[in-house]
Amino acid sequence: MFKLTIAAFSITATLASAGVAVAETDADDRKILSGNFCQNENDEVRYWRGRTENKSATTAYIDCPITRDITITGGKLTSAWAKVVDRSAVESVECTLWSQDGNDISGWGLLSSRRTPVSHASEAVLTLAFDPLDSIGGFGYYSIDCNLAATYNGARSAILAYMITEH
Amino acid sequence: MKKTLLLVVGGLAAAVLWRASRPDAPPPPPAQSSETPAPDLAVRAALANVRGDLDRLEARTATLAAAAPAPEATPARAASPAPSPEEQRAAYATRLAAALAAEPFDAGWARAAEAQVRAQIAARPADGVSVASIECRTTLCRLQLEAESTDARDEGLRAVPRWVPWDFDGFYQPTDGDPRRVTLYVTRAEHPLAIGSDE
Repeated sequence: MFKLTIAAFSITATLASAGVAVAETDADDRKILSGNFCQNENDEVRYWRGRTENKSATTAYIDCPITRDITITGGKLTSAWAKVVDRSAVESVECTLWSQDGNDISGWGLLSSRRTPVSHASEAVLTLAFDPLDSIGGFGYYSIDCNLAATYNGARSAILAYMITEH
Repeated sequence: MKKTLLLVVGGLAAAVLWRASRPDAPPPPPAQSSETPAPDLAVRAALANVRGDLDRLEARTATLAAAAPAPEATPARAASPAPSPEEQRAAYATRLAAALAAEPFDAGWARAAEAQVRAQIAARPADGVSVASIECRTTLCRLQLEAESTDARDEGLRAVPRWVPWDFDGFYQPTDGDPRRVTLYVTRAEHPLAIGSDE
């Protein structure tokens, strides 16, 4: 009987502590978006299996949307990354995370910019990890833009996906 | 006295557990005559003693609690209101200007960094945008951009990640309130922007 009581108490305590842990992680809003959310203003890219690939012989600029879910003033992006493939041996793939003021056309903001090594050329997926960024007021917004390297011997550089965690 | 009390309580607990562990045990027999007191009567008497002791203990505890000084009320934590975007921008700009001014001049890195940025701007110019100044020290650079229009300014901002050829974090704002002029701070690679973002 005592063993039963102790076991029941242990299970209750475990569930209670698990409940607390769930509540803490619920404060973070983490989302992964496929790379084909990114937009290109010219006909330089192709979309395939969730990726955006540069099919042109010039660097392709793409702009990737981020939905800001936590709109309280003082929120922030606690982590973010972009998964890219750099197939060029002469150019890097560069991505920048932006946090901008949605109320001020005169413009101010924060950015975190990461790139692959210039000489890197491989089919390997690389992670460009950004630093945390503050949101700007209650109307600020985020985005990621990238410069995808031009095709190199026919090989296309790409963005596969990007992730952001809001808090 | 204490030993007796412990023995009685222990006996009681053992009896309760023994009974609980035998749910099929028959109900206790009815009380017998006073001439031959049943064991139940002795247990009840002991239980009454224990209850008396417990009542006295609770009364003593209540007396001590009343005599103890009341704990100091915890002052309510004043919730500091979140800064407005203007206050946020001013705070970042102030911190970064102070940080740059306080940095020693790392001649090796600073000169090379400035030269790299100038070379990238020359290789990838943005129409209608010129660079008024570039100043690097140890972990920070400040660039002053001047544009013919806000559209040209936006083209210049879009080019910044290609003009600065290393991993960096940055902050930008209009210079002296003129939206065509931009002050931009960028960090040296692997140095976070000192604006208190992680506080």
